[in-house]
Amino acid sequence: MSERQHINKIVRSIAGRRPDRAPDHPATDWRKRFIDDLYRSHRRDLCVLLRRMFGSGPPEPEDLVQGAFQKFSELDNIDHIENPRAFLAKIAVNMGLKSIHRIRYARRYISEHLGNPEAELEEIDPERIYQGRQQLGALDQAMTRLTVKQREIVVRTRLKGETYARISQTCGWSEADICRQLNRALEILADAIDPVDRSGKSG
Amino acid sequence: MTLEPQQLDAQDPSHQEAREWLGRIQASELTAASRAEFEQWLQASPAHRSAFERAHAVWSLIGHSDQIETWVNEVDGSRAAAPDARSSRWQPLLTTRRIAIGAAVAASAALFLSMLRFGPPPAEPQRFASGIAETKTVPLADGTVLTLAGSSEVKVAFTDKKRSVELVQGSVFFDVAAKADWPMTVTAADTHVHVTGTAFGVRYGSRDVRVAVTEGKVLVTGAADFASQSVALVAGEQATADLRGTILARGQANIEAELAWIKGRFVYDGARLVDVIDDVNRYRLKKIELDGERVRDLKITTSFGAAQIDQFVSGLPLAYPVNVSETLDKTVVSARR
Repeated sequence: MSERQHINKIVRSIAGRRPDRAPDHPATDWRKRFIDDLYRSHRRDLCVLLRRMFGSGPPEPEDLVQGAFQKFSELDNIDHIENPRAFLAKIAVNMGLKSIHRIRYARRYISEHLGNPEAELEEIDPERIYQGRQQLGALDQAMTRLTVKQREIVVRTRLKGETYARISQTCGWSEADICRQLNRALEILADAIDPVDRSGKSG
Repeated sequence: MTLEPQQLDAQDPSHQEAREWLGRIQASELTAASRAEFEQWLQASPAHRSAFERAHAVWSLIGHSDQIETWVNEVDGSRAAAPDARSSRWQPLLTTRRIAIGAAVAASAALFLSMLRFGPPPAEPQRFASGIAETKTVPLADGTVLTLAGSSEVKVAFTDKKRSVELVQGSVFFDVAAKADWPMTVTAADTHVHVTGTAFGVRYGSRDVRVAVTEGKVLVTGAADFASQSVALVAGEQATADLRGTILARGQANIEAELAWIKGRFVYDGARLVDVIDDVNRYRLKKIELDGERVRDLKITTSFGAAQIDQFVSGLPLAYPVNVSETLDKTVVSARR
């Protein structure tokens, strides 16, 4: 067995097997069929997305997708999920980010200093996302108002977990410029999501 | 008088500072000094904390959007349409080279290497990283060979005067090509290792940095005070420094245990559980968390291969006063009640 096969075997034993169908779960038949359909329809596209975001691994994109389906199949409250494919993408991207040591460290560090365990976990929970859907709508709108460059910097830092140095190397922008652009982008997004707080009228 | 939001922002720079700190924490390598500066800033005023919480809420929300795939596709699409000339600057030449890694750890072993890079030294640091559970060899342009343990990362920057390597995370074994007039400095957190040609391992843990020498000699210094913080180590010795660069201990190294990971093994003799788990987590997708100080400081003596990590973890309650529980995305080791 090659070293890579050996490593992948370990990863799979943790993330779960990679079957031809969605993972088993204690669910009703309709739910099982629903998840099996999702798996057949979206597995390939999600793998392509994750490979573009995090490379070929390890963890391999297939294992992240498998992990996302596993997690999805164990959720109690999928009734609130309006777009299952997008939801699976969120879970898988979050798993990919959690495989990066620096990101895990940053989340833990912030969590410790805010005294908020949720900051560390940043878990993808349907109930919480449903409750925050108005804010998410405002965020999606505001993202369209960012410049292409600002949007790229948000995607690279927040979703791909890239550092300023890496972005600078890839895109040719200075780190100071990237920092400024991210700051401005977050300001625009914050004002769209929480305009009252900015003027000091709410906590 | 009612102030416009922009005027309020100009009067109170908290929000801008909060966003800047958030970006730095999430997207750069914070030094110990920067962390201290951030903590001081956060505690200086309730407004700072509130502004940081607000910025962080936005950051979290971005990962909850249904539009993630659209945004990523847009970014990749625009890059594909305008490829950066930088990507073709390096033309790696494939070859194979046989090396021996440190006599003390693998006298009889040799590693076949590929991807030896030729060409001029880069102006910007080159990044090399290994994946989870991947042991990776990286030959550098000067003949130095790095061996990265799982989930490890280095940045390499060579100039005419010096060779600089930053250990960003993990464990790396350095087999440094001897260049008397071209010194190398390896940095991990605020600890620096100065060498001209030798072999040694550096482990950047969550609490400390450890340097163990297998050949030749090195000079270990802290960042704060070069003169008072330096320790010279020879083959068979090791030093431990905290993350601020203060050297805590030096002594004989258990080289075989320290560098066992090169052979795919984990060997510990009275190590703290937190250090064991730091290492093991670099080989495991589902991370292990230690719940409580008492658990972190448990002294562990054990030996197991990379394929037996799960058995090691599940067997902990048999040998130590701990419980092991599984959640969907992590394994938690806690003190037995």
